[in-house]
This record gives sequence, structure tokens and C-alpha cells, in this order.
Amino acid sequence: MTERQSNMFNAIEQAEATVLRALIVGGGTSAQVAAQSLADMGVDVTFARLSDIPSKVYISLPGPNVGEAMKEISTDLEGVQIIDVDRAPAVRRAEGRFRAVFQDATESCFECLFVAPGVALRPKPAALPETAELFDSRTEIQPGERVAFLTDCLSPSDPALTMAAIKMAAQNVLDGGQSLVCFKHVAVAHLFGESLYDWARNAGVQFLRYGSEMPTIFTDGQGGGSARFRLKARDLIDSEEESVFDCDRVMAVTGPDASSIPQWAVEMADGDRDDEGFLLSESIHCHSGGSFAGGVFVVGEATGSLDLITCVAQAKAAAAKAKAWMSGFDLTAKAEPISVSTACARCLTCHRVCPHKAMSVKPEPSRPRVEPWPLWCRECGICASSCPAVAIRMAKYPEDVMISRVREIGPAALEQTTVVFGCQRSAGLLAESIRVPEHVQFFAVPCAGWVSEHVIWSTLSAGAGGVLVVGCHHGNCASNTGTDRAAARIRRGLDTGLFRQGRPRLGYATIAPNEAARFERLLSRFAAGQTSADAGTDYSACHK
Amino acid sequence: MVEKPVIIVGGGIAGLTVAKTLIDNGLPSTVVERAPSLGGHVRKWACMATDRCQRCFCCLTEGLVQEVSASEKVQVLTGRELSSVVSNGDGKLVRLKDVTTGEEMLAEASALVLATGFEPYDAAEKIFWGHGRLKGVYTLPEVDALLREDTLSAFNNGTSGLRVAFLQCVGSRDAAAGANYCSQYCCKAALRMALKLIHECTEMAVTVFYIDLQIAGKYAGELLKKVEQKKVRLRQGVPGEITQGPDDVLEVVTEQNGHNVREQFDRVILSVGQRPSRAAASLAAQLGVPMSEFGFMEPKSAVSHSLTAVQGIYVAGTCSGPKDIEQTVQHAGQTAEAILADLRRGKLL
Repeated sequence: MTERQSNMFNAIEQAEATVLRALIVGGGTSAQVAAQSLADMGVDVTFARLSDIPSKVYISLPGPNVGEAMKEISTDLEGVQIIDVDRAPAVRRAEGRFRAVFQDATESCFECLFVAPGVALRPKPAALPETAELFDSRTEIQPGERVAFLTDCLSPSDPALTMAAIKMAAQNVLDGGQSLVCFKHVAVAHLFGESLYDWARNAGVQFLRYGSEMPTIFTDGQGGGSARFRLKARDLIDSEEESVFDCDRVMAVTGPDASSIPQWAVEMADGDRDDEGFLLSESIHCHSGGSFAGGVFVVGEATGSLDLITCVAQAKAAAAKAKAWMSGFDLTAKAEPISVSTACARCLTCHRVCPHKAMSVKPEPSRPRVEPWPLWCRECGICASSCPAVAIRMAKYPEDVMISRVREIGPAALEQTTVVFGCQRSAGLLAESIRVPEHVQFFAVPCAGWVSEHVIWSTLSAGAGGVLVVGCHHGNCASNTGTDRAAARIRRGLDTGLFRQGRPRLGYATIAPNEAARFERLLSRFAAGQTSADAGTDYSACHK
Repeated sequence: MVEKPVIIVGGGIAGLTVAKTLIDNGLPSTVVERAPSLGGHVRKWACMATDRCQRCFCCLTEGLVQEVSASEKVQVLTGRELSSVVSNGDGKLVRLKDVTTGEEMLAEASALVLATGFEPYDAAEKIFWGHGRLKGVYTLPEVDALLREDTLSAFNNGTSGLRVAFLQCVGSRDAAAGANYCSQYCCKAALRMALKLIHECTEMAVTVFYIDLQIAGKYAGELLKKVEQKKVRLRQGVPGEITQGPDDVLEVVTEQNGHNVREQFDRVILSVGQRPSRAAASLAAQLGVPMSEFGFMEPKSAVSHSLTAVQGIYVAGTCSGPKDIEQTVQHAGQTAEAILADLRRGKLL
């Protein structure tokens, strides 16, 4: 446990007395659940409720007592200050807090920010006839209609939405209509999904599984028959005979559309998005709605495809995390984790690279100052290692102390030694339990991104036989970009052409804290001078 | 502030996440684990990273174990299990039994969290798939263990170009076996494993036999894209039988258009589902917590997913239904939230 954490414990006893303020911007189920949950935990909640929030068809989600459960999500929020707005307030960070300016020009300060913008459904694929419809929360079926539901067209449908469609298909059959569900994969990823599927099948819903070829849809009798639509398709398993289904309506079942996420929400989430464009990156450190940036939580469908249960769980888990985050605000006597010296050229590199948004700029008339906000700082050292003016010093992990520890090994011994700098979250955890090979000296660092070019070259010029930087796997860095920065720095070193053969050696590798055996192999092979090919490891992954 | 700790039964990833979230919120807890060490199933599983993290969430456990063990807010009791809850005037006491000596101790509790986890399905029950009988038939956790120990050579024998088949839904979505539910984790786990194996041995040819691919959520799209790039064959339909031919070749029999199709593989990996833990039924009965039709502990509702019918008793993780690690961690966070909120309302044990 770090010193800061234990300080936090001592302070928590008084935290209850302090007013902790959270701002929630957005709407829908997730926003409501998060608001109520924070209020229930004693947080002072302001909910800037947007009038128009897109949402899916949760209300028709099947399963035991879901209708009853939905009633638990009350729109009548207890202990929450609701401000109805039609545009999101302007939010900026100021002195370690969030300052929001609302529509009516009133201003307030908050310790944490929840973003819940909701998301619209993807439009109906253009490949479908114009008269086909999009299945959404407004969809209604008249008694006796023949309806085809088309899921997974072009891209996978949202599982919860698919299940809602299956439920509607079954209800339609029970009301005297006919239903066909065309699918690639049945969404049963719920405990009651399988029973829903069986229930629909027994009710008389026809299911058709198509493979690579989508069903062909004919309109207005073009495929024969007099119905408005005629679907022809082959079942993937039983493909000998083509099935024909005549119907009155065709419903496309799609999923959340990342491109519909409003710009204000993207900005509040610091532009942190995953590969599909949903908010928050895919890093496991961003689970349960927590973002890399201090005090920012993103909940709901804008973070990806979620069903009701997951939405609620995410909002509540995020609220518990936020409460913990805010409890730290009561610390009165905090040690400054980093300090900025007068050498600072105010280039704002630190402000730009800090993954936790802990650097702020204090606009003073004569001389704007870059100022770290201690509570937000996670002491990864990315700012210090990136500062061109070498103006940032970390209180607990100063570079010069590390370099002198390396020098203490002595030139004679250093020549035989491979110096390994490893992230404390992965390699550092492992180094305590594995057998570190002979001639390897391991130093735990707060993040691979802490290891600056200055540290690398100082170690080499002190005479080390090799330098290996070990970070967490790409996409699993607790400071988002630390491991990638380390890779780029080693890459630049290797690009000098000084490390082609023999000693000294320079390398970079990634590891997870549950890879003890692999870490041992990696260390001994790197120290023995084996190339990455015969070591079977990726300690020069940055070559790619 | 409460003095009495929250007692968390189960020191797997669910229990540890609850403890960690409570630590962060300043609440004391006691983690009771039957095994000699913390970490549960996840501690036996391997990292699935290829050239990047594949979001298996396994590695979270290591940090959690360390943090929870080191925290002064948490008392860790290994080698013990919950035996009963007794009333004590205005509060409740929890009786904890030492699993080796049978000796019992009493502990005060402000709330009780059940995080007793799951049991993997015993693949040997599916005799036609030959686990334990045919050479080269593994379960997913078995391959995990090899990867974890860096002894994958025991799996591929140094042979390149192995033909590997994954069989999905082993013991899941199986009404006949009383498990008509999806185990939630196995599709993603198998696809990640397929990519990991291809990353380790590039010549490997992988086929996945599935009923339906259940891969919602973050990374799902990326995972499918990668699987396609790496030429993993996805075949709908789960084989009926596996037989062993000469040279230990495994013949997998599937049905296409009513005909039997035979395909040859060198290794088969069975994606075993999650079953409720055997201890869950008696524990739930003792505490008055209702069970679902599949033998998992029943949460109060789809929204109050961490509460049970009994005030002050909460569930976290797979004991209340199958989950992958990401869902488990989220559910445990929800459980901590429920405790924090109930604490303010004075609605604990």
C-alpha cells in the first residue's frame, strides 16, 4: 500500500462531514441510476437532465420481473437536484475541480463529473428496401400482421435489442400474427435468454439462421406472391431448400451507433474512445465507467453495447468508485507528488501528456504557472519523462536518485549487468516472487512511461551491459500511454544503430502480473543475449 | 462510521473487488476464503495478451490480492468457511469454521457478502467428447494452466501446423443436463485463447464449433475482426462425437444437411461452462436466500442485482449466475455500492 493511500484512510473518517458534489450530465436509465445511487451514498448530486436523450427499448426487455424491476428505476429522484436543460453545461477543470456553467449562466463547482449522453440506434442498412423499418422503442405491431425481424444485417445487432425483438415476435404470434426472425447469432447472453428463445419457438415464431448470404427481400410481388414483402433465404444448417416467407412488414434490428454520441460528451470524456468510437478506451483500467482522467466517469450506452442489467451495474459500480474518489478530497495535508521548477518553459507538454489530467495552468497575469493537482496525480511520471526542460521532479521517484542507484552497482559489475526497469503494476509485482536471473538488476518504476531517454542513456553511459524496459501489455497501461511511450523511446534508441550486435543490449518487453514463468524466461534470455526470435518473446516488439 | 466489518465469503475476484471498493470508501471488511490462498479460479488462468492486451481481466487479481492482503482495513481469513449466522441481541454474529480442524470462531458482521463463485463443468460427463479418455482432448482451464506455467510445449509437443478445434457450450445451453443457460464467458475466452495460441504458434489452424457466438460489449467487434484476420474458422454446430484414429488423430463428427461430416484434428479444447458451486445450495438454504432454477443464488431483482431476499445479505460475482471476469468485477462494484447505500439508511444485518 502506498503512503498516500494510508493517509487517505485516516482522512476518510472526517470525509462524511465534508460536502462532496457530483455533476451528472445527460439522461436515461444510467444517469438516473447513477444520480440516485450517489445521493443514497451521501453525495450532493446535481443532475443536468437533457430533454432529448436517445435510448433503446429497455422497457420491453424480457425476463422474470423486469417490468417490476424497471419500476425501481424511479424518475422521481430522491435527494437529487435536477436542472432540466436542453443543452449540456460547459464544463472545465479548475484547480482540481470541475466548474460548470449552466444554460442560465449560473456557475457551480463539483468534485466529480458523470457523463451519460445515451446513444441512438444505427439507421436501417441502406441495402434493405426503403419500406423496411427500423426496430426501436416506438415499434408497434397491429394484431394479425406478418412481420419479419432481420438481425445482424451487415454488423452484429445489439443483444438486448435482439431479445426485445424476439419477445415482440413471440407476442405477435400469440396475438394472431406471424413472425420470422432471421439471425446469424441468437443473443442468449442472459440467464433467461435461453428460456425466452424456447418460449418464442414454442409460441410459433419461425427462426432462420443465415450464413454469409443475407436473405433476399422482394417488394410488391416482384419475388412472386401478393404480399408486400417476400423473403427468400437458405438456412445455414439445413440449406438444401430455400425458405420463402411473405410478410407485411420488415424490421431491421440494429445496435447503438457510436457516431451519434454528441460532441459535448466526447469532450467531457477527454476524447477517450475505443476502436469502435464508443466512449472510454478498451483498457481494463476503464472498467465500470471509470476513465483515465481524474474524476470523470462515463456511464450508459455511449460506452458500448449494454443491456439493462449491465447498465444498472455499471452506473452503480461507477458511483461506488466515484464516492471513493471524492473521499480523497478531504485530505488537508497532502504531500506534493510532483513539483515544477523555475526551469519550466510553459510549453504545456505535461498538460498535454498527462493521462490523468492532473496538470493545470494557473493563469496569473505576469507569469502563467503550470501546477499539478496532487489528488489527481497518480505518479506515473509521464510528465516528468516527457518534459523538454527537465523541470518536473517527482517527490517519491526522482530520476537522479534512480540513476545514482544504478551507478552504485559500480562500473566493473555493471558491465556484466542487465538493468531492468519494470512497471510496478506488472513486472514489479512479479519481481518479488520470481527467481531473478544472475547478472540482472531489477528496478521497479511507477510506470514504463516513467523511464525517460535520460534514464536509459545515463544507465548505458554508466557502463551497463544492457537495458531492458518492461511495461504492461499494450492496451493495459494504467496510465493509458505509458507503455507505448516506453516502446517508442526504445525504438528511437534502437534506430541509432548502436545496438545491432553484442553488448550493450537495449530492449523493451511487455508482461502481465500473472505471467511469472514467462517473465523468468524473458529475463534470462535477454540477459543471455538471445535475439527475440530464439527467445520466443516480444522484447523487441517495438520493431514492428 | 461502523466498527463492525462487512464479512465477505469467498476470496476470488468478486470478493476481492468488493473488499477493495470498501477499502477505498473507508469501510472495514473480513475476507473469508476456504482455500489456503486468495485469488480463486482466476489465479489459475493465463494472460491472453498477444501483441496487445485482449481484455481478459485475469491479471487484475494479482494486484487485488496484494492490495487486499496489505490493507489494514481488511482481515483475511484463509482456510475458513461460513458455517452459520446467529442472532445476538441487536446484531448478528457469523460463525466461521476452520476447514481442517473444524474449530469455530465467532465474528461480528455489519453485512454479509456471498461471493462463493462457481464450479467448472466436469467435461468427463460428456463421454462422447472423450475428455480424460482420448489423448489430445483438453478443457479451456487446462490449456490456461499450461500457458500460465509457460509450458505450452506440453500441448503442442513442438509440432507446428497443429489442427486445433474448440467445442463451445460444453455443459452450457444444455437443457438435458439441467443447464439451459449461457455461461457468459466461454465464447470470448475461446476466441481469445484461439488468438493467443496462434500468436504463440503461428502455423496453428484453429476451428471453433459454436452454437451462437455470444460476444457483446467492448472489444467484441475488435475480437471478431482479429479472429477473421487470423483465419480462425468459425463453424456453426457442435459436434456429436469425437473418436481417435491412428497416430492419435481426433475425428470430430458434425452434421450438415442431415449428413455426418468427419473432420480431423490434432487437439480439441472443450469450453466448459460454469456450474453453481456445490456448497451454494446448503449455504443459501441456511441463510434463507432463494435459489434460481439452475442452482445459483437469486438476486432480489434485475435492478437490485446485488441484494438478496434477506436484508443485510448480498451477492457478488458468479454465485448469483454465470459471468465473465469483467461482469464479475462490475457486479462486485455494484455490491459495494449497495452496502454503502444501505449503511447510510441503516439497513444492514
